[in-house]
Amino acid sequence: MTAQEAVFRILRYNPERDASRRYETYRVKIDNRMTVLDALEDIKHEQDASLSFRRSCRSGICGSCAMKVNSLAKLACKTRVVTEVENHGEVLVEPMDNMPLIRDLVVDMNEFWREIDRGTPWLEWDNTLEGSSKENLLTNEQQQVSGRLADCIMCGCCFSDCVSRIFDKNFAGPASLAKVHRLVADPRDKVGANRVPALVGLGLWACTHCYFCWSQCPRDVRPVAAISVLRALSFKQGDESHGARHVNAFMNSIERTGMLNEATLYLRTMGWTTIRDFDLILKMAVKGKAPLPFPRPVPKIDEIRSIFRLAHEVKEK
Amino acid sequence: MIKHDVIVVGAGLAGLRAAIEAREKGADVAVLSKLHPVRSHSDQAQGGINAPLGEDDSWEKHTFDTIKGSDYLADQDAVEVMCKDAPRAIIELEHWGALFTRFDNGRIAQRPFGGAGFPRTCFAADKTGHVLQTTIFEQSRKNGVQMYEEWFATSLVVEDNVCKGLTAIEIVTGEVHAVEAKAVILAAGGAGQVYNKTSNSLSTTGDGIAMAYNAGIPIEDMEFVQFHPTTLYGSNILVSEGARGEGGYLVNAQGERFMKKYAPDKMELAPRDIVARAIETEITEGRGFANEYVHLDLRHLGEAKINERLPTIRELAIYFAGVDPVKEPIPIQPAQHYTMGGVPTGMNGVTPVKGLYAAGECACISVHGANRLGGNSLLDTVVFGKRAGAKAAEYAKEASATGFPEKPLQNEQKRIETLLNRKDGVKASEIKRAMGSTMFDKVGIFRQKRDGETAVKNVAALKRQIETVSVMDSSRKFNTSLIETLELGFELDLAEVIVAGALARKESRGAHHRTDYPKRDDDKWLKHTLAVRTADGPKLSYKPVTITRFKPEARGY
Amino acid sequence: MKYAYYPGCVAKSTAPELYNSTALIAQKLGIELVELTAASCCGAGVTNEGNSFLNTVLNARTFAMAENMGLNILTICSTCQGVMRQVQWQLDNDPKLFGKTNEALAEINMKYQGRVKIKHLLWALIEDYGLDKLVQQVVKPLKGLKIAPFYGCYILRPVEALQYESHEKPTSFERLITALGGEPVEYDGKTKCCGFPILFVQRSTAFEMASTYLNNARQAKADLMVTPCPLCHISLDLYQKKAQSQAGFDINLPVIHLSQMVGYALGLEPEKLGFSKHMISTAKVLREL
Repeated sequence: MTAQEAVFRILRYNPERDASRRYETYRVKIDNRMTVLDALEDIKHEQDASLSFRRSCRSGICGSCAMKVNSLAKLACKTRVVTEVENHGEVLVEPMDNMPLIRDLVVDMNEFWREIDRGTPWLEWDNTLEGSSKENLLTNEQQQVSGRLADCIMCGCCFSDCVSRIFDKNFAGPASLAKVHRLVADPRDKVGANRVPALVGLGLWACTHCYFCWSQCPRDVRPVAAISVLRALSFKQGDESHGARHVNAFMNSIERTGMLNEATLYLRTMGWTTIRDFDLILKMAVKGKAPLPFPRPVPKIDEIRSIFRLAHEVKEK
Repeated sequence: MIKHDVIVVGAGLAGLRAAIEAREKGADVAVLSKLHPVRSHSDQAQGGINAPLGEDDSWEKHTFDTIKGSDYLADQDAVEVMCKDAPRAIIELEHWGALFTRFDNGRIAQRPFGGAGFPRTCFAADKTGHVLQTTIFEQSRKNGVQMYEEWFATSLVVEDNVCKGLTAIEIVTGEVHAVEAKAVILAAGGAGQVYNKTSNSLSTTGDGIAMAYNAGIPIEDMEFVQFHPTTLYGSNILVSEGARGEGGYLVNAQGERFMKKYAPDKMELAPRDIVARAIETEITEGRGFANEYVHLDLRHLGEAKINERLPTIRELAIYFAGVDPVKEPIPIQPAQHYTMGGVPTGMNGVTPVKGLYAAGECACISVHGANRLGGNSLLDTVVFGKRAGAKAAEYAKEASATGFPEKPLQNEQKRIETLLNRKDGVKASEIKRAMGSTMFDKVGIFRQKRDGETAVKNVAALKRQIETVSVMDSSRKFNTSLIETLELGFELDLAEVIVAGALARKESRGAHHRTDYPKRDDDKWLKHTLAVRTADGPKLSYKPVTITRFKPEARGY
Repeated sequence: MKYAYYPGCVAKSTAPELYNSTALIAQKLGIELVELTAASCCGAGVTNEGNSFLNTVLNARTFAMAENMGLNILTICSTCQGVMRQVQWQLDNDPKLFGKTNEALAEINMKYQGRVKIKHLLWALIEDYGLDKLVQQVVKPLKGLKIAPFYGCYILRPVEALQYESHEKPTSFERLITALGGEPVEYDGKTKCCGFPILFVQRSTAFEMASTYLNNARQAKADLMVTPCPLCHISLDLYQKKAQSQAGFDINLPVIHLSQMVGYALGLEPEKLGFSKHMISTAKVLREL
């Protein structure tokens, strides 16, 4: 273990003193084991008592210390300083995104909590069971999907780095939807799959698959995967929104031709609104880029169609 | 002025369970917590929650194990209540959605735990606390329980032995508020941060117990501090007893499973005080590694079992100790873990002050006596949280609001202003560091007179120092230095009480072990300690232990 | 170097310049591409939301086809790369799914063995061909041209599935650009999302994403943006004018494909590489070079 020094560049903002955000630099003696949280505590106690941040368990389970380290949301207590220095040279520490800043590294998480609440995030349990002395019988396998999703510690990392959320404030966000899936997948929830129809309104189809929620989640919850499953459920339930129509058009195109034909896909998803892009389509045609809506199937298309048949059968089961 | 029928301080398992119950009973209840509820320390519990569910188990057996585990200091009528209610409490949690690990037949699985004569610890892998806290939090939202998140309670307002409410800082704005309530339930947890080596979170600073103490309420059994045998060397992050429950071995540097010498029957699953002392002895007698730790060996459990039952521990060991338990043994050492003492209550959370209740780790009923069995704390929170909630709601219904005195709020505002404006002074972090090491070194696992007296002097000096502490940040909004300084005040008060109780108790019982009085002395010391605040420090008195079924016997494992 | 070549659907319809430029550079570098003409669309992450088993089997069939040829798969689309690697990663780590999938494939007399490697052209150039060797082939270095690499999402995340480079600090594009004589530009958004997955579903949001990151690159003084994914290209080039019109400011940053950038440096004619096929004109950039 060598003793080295690392440079921390930390965003500071005190609403009582600062007109705007600024950055301050601190040097901290580090070793191979030190976490960013260790360093922040060190800075606060030895150099600058005014540095404010949330923390509690220092072991990656309470979720308090979520913040951006070198531009990605992480738990400070589970982020090793030497790794950050190796990758980026310095340690840039900033508050999470997508939530208003209160002070220094402390954000107002009310927006996040409101979005969680939009998913009615509690088990609607069967209250005829009240007073019964027996538990619901469940296997570990039946609880597996819920189990992973219930590992969520509500730290906010996924919400902070969600690209869709930056641009669409109606999108409830990865944590909220992952929580809904946790409940849908629990056999004890009386509402179950009936939670799904409301999700279109929560922005079920607004997720842009950037996978930041997967990569930044410190608990490996994989919210984007939950969103895909919820979409599949919604699709199965006869969802009529653009997103579901897009899925339908996609599958149709592949079943018929093996490939994606943009022309038919476009028309089927957008319908008459295709007219908006007429100018674009014209330009594309001139450049030889406009696909015709009469595609030829790929060789061995029968194989592909067999797979469709098989997969639908499996799904019905 | 904020006004409610019932205010609960603390949003962990006990606090939220109490709030849900109070609301169900029709009270206007609100929870006040310095953290968002899901950040509460309950979230960090790992190993499990006890209940005599098995066909060959019984509440009597559970009661006996608990009382013996407590080294006969527990009040037996309360233990009976807890063990009888345990099955209902667990089943309720399961109905609410808790994701317990299951047996193949779909029933809630149970595993062996320290000091238990039967495998009765229900668990959710090794994240039981997280699962239960999430479940109870969800249900509190479902029941519309109101929350004041990131409000830091600073003092209880008690007049003529009636609780009127409390004062609290709204952390975001820094404003000091008066919170009027007919009933207050303290559920703010234990006081681990008094010690420098603790498994407890940085927020576990004994606020509830200290506020009660400062309001003149005698606090009970504070010298009984549990040291968990297995925490990661270096960070002191908890490694659940569940690891031993699943079959893990404790091994010294000579390759011995040394528990054979200390508890030949129960081995690694002896109660925590016995195992902690064993490990500490091995280390001090030179059979440890680097004079600091011993090994917890899980390799023989196999990767599949570790991944299924102990995934959290695996991750923690890899990340915080650089060791993969599948391949290598984990370096562990004992550290502070649980506060058996606290605000004295009866079986329904009732304290000596009218309208004041307590539940969870901050209460002392006492069901854990001189040593708590693993899995009984989570049980304690939901059983007695529910009872306290019901009782507080009932009281609030009958009680009439008697108004809130002005002075306490003014005094608090002044005190905090003074703290904020003091430019130079001693650093809180330095005081904390000194307190933590004094407490662990002098009032730790092995205690004796000279160390105790040194601790008294050291703590007294620190108490003088804190009078000139500077927060070094005069801002109001989200001033975490201020909060840490106020927490330090609470910690020092409790440190003083712990030292006094430990020095006075001339025997060894449960987690309180004195090398100069190594035997348990039922004739002189089968009694609870009570400490009340005076100008000259804590004044100690004693009260009897309630014994119903089980006469105190020798405690061997 | 010989690969089972999976060009994906877009390269064969709305991005013919990608298909053509890839063929040209392959020829120049001596890379043999045997096209998997009977392969299905990878599903682009969308089929997965209609029927996830269908998604798995369709892609497993593609893998089996390549395995039958004894070749690894080369992709030229990040989305194809990401989707296929995710499916492969799931199959390789879930014996039950692996079994079920092969049961389905057995009905069409195919079998996925778990041997095939799937590589994007970007990785193949660096790992298989070698940057040092590539540098020697450079005839028209990109003369300090400031190039903003747009990695996007699918070629980087999830890291467990793609297992190529850190998504936090990726370097492959920067190394390639530098090897070709260009100057990589740092800007916020290079690993963020172009908006394509929601282009047909929530158009205005997709436009905002595209215009924001394009603008960031422009503000960082980029002359050119390069992307390894034709779907990103649709969002960033095809729709750039509409995106900037919604944003209310001009961007006019030309966006080209990876293969076009490499092709140019190798001395191939811009016209043949399809530089004139883009919506945002590359004329100015070509003049500067």
